[in-house]
Amino acid sequence: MFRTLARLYADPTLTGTNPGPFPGDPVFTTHPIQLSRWLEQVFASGGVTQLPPLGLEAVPINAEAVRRLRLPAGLRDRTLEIGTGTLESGITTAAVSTDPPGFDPNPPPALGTTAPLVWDHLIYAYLVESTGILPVFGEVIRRFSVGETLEAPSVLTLAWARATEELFFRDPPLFHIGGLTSQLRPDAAVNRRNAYWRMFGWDLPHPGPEGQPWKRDVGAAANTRFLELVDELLRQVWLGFENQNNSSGANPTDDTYLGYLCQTLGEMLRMRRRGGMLTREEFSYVTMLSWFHLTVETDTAVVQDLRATANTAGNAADRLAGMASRVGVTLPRQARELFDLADLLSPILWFIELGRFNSAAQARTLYLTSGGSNPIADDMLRLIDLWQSATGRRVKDLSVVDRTGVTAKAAPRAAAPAGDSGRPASGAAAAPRPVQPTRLPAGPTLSTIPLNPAQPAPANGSGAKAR
Amino acid sequence: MSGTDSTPDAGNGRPADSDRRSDDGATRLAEALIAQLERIGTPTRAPVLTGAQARLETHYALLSNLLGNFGRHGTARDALLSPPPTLERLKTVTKLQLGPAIPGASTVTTYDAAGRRLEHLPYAASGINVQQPDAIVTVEVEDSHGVPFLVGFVTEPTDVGPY
Repeated sequence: MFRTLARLYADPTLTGTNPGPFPGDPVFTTHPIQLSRWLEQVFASGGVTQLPPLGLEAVPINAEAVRRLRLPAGLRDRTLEIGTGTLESGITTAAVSTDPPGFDPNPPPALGTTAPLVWDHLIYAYLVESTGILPVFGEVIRRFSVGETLEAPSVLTLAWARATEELFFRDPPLFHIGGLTSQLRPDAAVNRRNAYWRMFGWDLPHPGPEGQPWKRDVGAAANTRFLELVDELLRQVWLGFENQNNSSGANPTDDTYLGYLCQTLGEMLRMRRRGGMLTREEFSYVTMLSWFHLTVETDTAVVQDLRATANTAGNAADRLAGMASRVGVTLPRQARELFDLADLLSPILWFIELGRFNSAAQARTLYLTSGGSNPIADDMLRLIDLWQSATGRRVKDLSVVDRTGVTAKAAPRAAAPAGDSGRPASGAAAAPRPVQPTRLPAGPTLSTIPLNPAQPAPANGSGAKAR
Repeated sequence: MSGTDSTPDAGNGRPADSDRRSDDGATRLAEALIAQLERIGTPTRAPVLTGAQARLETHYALLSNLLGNFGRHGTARDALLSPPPTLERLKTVTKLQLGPAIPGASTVTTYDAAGRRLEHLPYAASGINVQQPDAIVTVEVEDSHGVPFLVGFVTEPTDVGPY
């Protein structure tokens, strides 16, 4: 969401041909209260609930839930008559250089709110958080705030740190759409894990609080079949890619089965959204993670200040790894894939939830190339590569069948990466279901962050090297 | 029907086009042989998306655009009509304005809030007369083959400008 705002700042009509990425500093230096109000306006615009005009068969987010949860229009985007001016974000004009747009007391409609600006699927938040980005930035901001173990920040970095802390490391303003912590569920990290567990049956790859409180009282409603179904879907799509140009012989591609898998996945995910459940959580978490993603997408001021630049040849994971090393954190080796997967899996899962691949003819678009470019097939092909690389699951090796905790693989495979428990990621036969049955990034995980106050900070100003 | 145009439908466990098959084994064998010979004599063609599939592809590109992905991965594919189309209410008619001339545009289809098709009209860069302006929510711009390649969300004239 904030990455889209970065584009809107540079290209308010979205007509430019530059695919990005766009610089994040104008966003980071916008006052946090404006950003906070902008989020209210975007949520109120409805996101994916505004897409029924496209003839969708199912809409996962309940439009009535959005209508009931958003701020009333008069508190959201009308001028109050008590002399306090407007409550709108005032984010309406393109930014110049790193200067954010000013605040217009009587603004036209805010950027991104005159047509549905869809927010990402919850899978985006899960995958980006799996890179370990939150502990890294939490530690960076803490160090900027309490001492001088890092270099003195530039003014732009100071503005970023202030906005980040205000928006994501403290309780949001009362009645804000992102107000998801309370006396009843005080830990934001546990709350996020709870949403991931319910929606995908997945835990984050790095350790959480003792006792896995995010699974308490979930009941039997976690989508623990999600991984199995996604694996099977990708396997079948790959079968389609392999055989679509067969000129003779058998074609084992089964479009009806593909459609069935998509329908099953969509129904499973929509079950968790009944009555508008997880709507606020999804919006809040994907916007939060997009902020951090935007921070490392280009060589922003904070990246430069922490000497983690990667130029145009690098990627978000390179920058994050550089910053992580400054604060003594080691990232999972799949961070690069996780960032890319987040972008690709989000629209695919939305489309699956929207019921757009349910029929055999529709499902064919998952792999069919029309001689030119089919963005769905292009994305799926890239997604399969990234999924294999990130998870170690042999999607393209059709002789391997993997049903985590259910059945065995049918053929030997080379050196499967071990999961956190030391068990091969593709599981041996008839193994009992572990407490955490799925761990997407099967490999080295985050190291423990040196948060112990008794531990002295390195004297040289840089964090302990963990790599 | 599964399989591509150039491949038989074996392997999926479902008989395809069973209603067209003859019960006569010899006839079926002959038909299969003829079909196979025709395939051998025909160069492999790239599979082509149907109109409905191409529309699905455009809608996917639109969703991806609305998520902020304008070619972050792979080829850039812009399906969002921007600036958004507007309705120009004149004395006797209402015109749908689609902004600057759109290369390749041939026809325009309007849809209501539930996705029901309202009108299918020839494209005109100067504006298109519409009969049910109040019901229009989205507009799809099609090429000469009738395949939609741009989708726009109609806004009120005061909203013209930033997206």
